[in-house]
Amino acid sequence: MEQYQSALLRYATRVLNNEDAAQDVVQEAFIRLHGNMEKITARGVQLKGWLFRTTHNAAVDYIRKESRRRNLHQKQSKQAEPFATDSDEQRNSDERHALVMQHLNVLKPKEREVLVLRLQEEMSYKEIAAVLKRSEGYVGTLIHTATKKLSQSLRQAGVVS
Amino acid sequence: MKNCTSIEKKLTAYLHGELNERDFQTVEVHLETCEACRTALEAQRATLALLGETLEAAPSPAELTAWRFIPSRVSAHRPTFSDYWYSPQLRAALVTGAACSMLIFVSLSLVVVTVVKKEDKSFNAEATFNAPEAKRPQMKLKKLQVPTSVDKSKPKLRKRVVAKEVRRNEMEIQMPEIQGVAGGLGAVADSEGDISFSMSEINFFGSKRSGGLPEFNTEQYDRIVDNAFKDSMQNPLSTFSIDVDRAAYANVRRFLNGNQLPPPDAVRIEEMVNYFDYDYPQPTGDDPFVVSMDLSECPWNTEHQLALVGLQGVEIEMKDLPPNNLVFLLDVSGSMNSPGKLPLLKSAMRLLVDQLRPEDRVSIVVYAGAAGMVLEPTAHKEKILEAINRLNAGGSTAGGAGIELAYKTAMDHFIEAGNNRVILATDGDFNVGVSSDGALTRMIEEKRESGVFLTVLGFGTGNYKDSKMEKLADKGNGNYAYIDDILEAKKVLVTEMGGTLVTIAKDVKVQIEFNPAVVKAYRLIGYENRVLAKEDFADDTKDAGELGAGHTVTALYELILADSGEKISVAGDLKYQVTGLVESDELMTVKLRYKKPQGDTSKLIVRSVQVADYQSLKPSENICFAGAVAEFGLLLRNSEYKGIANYGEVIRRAKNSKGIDEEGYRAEFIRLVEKAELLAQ
Repeated sequence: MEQYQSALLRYATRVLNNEDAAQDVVQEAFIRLHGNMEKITARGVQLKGWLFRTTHNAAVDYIRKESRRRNLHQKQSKQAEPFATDSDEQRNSDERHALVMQHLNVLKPKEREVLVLRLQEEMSYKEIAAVLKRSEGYVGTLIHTATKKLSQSLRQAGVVS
Repeated sequence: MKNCTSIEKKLTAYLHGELNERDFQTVEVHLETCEACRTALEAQRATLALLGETLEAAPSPAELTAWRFIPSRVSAHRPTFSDYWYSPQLRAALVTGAACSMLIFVSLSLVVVTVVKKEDKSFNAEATFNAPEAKRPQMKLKKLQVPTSVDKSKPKLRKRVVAKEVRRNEMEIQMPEIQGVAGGLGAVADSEGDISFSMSEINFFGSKRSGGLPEFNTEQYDRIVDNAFKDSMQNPLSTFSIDVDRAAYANVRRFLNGNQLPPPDAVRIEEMVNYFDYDYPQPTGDDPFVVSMDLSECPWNTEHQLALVGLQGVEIEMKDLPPNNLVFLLDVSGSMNSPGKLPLLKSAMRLLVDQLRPEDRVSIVVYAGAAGMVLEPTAHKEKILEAINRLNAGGSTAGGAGIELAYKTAMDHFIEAGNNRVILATDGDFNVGVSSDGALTRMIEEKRESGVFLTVLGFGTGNYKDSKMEKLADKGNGNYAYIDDILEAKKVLVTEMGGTLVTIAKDVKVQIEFNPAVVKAYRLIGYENRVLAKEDFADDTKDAGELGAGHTVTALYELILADSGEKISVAGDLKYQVTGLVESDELMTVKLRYKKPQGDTSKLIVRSVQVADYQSLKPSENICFAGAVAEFGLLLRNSEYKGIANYGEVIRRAKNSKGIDEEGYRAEFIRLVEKAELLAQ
């Protein structure tokens, strides 16, 4: 198992851009492995693939939890402190979100759609392909070009570096 | 890398965990060796994370639902219709619809907003709008590159908003800036409660308070705790970094001119004392500056003595200045849109540009919601002035990104043996990207290594972030001035241009060793945030203040002499050490360290001072005036060390030591003290 650990850590770090979070996520993956050991060996599932998928899922869970937590905190701090005028971070992220919304307009409707299906509805490429009645490859390409376009537009405006 | 293109296409799916085993392997292996693809991956990751976060926090899913379901249903049921889908009209309609739905959301949740179009030349910013539970419905993207795209000749239609409160009668409105109101406080409302304002100026805050609109101020100052008396037996060394900034004085003046006493933490006494030039001898030797000393009775405590340590930097003629590589980093965000800010900033910059010579280069970087290059380096004055004239305010403030770009520009066009300097002009209210004080100072500390110096020019009232600006200049090998009017701009950028732009010595540290046989205790007046540990004095890695050409720096000590009967609190005697005294009638020894502007190792200067040298002399104008300024500072701070200080005495002594006062700054000082005396009653 240890042979996979560094590869998993590397992958999680790339997905999360946060080493501490990556360690938590990989640990979570191993915990899930421990809980499912019997099932996995019984079904003859390939361990490596299973671990990477689980790590990825744990990372996605982490991201979701993190952004919910942040949003919740923002709401709470808004309610609790109407006078906290200089919650820079809050205004900061609100403005960034507004900018991102605006930049979504550089995308074609179809491109926006796949991103929303992926990021908000958390559908797999396969599920999205079913919704759109197109191939998985088409969905992958569309998501990729959409992300690239958005990224470029945001970068030009200095929203992301 | 030959397969970068094919790898690059797989990066999003890699992040989404949607690659099959083989592709996954290929990408992993490739990423290990290819930096370009790692960068691309990072860009994708950042974008997806930000978009995910945005969608999660989206206030109204309505417009997203529109994007999501209409197209797929249309294409699923009526495939022939899909051509229409991509028609520009439909897309436009959809986008407008989405925007409208957000707008409606905003309006309903808070206030009824009536938009009246009106010609209004005095108001020059894009209308922007901030409500606590709503996103900004429209950010004008073009506005982010404002300065190049503004047509001056045409008066534009401006939006004016009249807002009526509907449900929330407890709502409170804050206006960060109002011209003509002292300290930028307060808001304007008529008796009905209807409020008219320009949109960029408004901020809503839910509030439990009802009744009148309370004054609101979001200026930020760091707390200052006065230096205490130190026993010279156990703490014979006093170490500090010089501070050539004068911002605090200009800021104090702004408050007093607005008929308000400044907040105590806005009063940095050393910056007030240093605002004035003193008549010190000019340097003649190899060192770029010379040290002067003086001693007199302490004006606010007749039992105590006042010691002065003055530095005079060498004057450099304009024609002898090294070539300038200046990067103007100008804040054109919405918060700069007031007469005391951007227009004043433009006038100030024009003054500076007028002084420049053919060998000087200027580039202009602006930042609002984003940072952008407005003017590539040029020596062409008309071009520079034209670019300055075109500047216009609007949007949020990505100060961090601006600093990055400005330093990069300065380094790309670095002039060896020249003056490479970023001139940051802002109100300090950064709110996009890197914006916390800690992160900004860390960033600026990194940039310091590049050999690029920094000048921070502060503008504006009401929302002024003094703490941030002072830290930036302090950490970034820089100086800091507050520009409250065009005369101050002239003082900083024309009269004292050498001092502002040309550093003749950097990391200048002062360490004074007091002789316990003569001095019982001492107190450094001001310099609270410049005090260094005694070990830092000889440590060349520790940053300290820069001295500009022609600058004078003055430090004052309040001394209790050894023959005084006054009790001072001292730590208990040491058990294992015996402190012995060397016989000497010297008062103190002054040690200075400095580095050449581009050097890394410091040079040491040592001078000792005898009491007898000063006993017979009448106190000089220098120490009398500096003492008066310090006393004024103690009064404004209501310091526990102010003793018998009073405004009348300050005025009397300032008048007696006014000297020639060609520029009238000392006369102005006297006027300000008179004003403060009235306000303090």
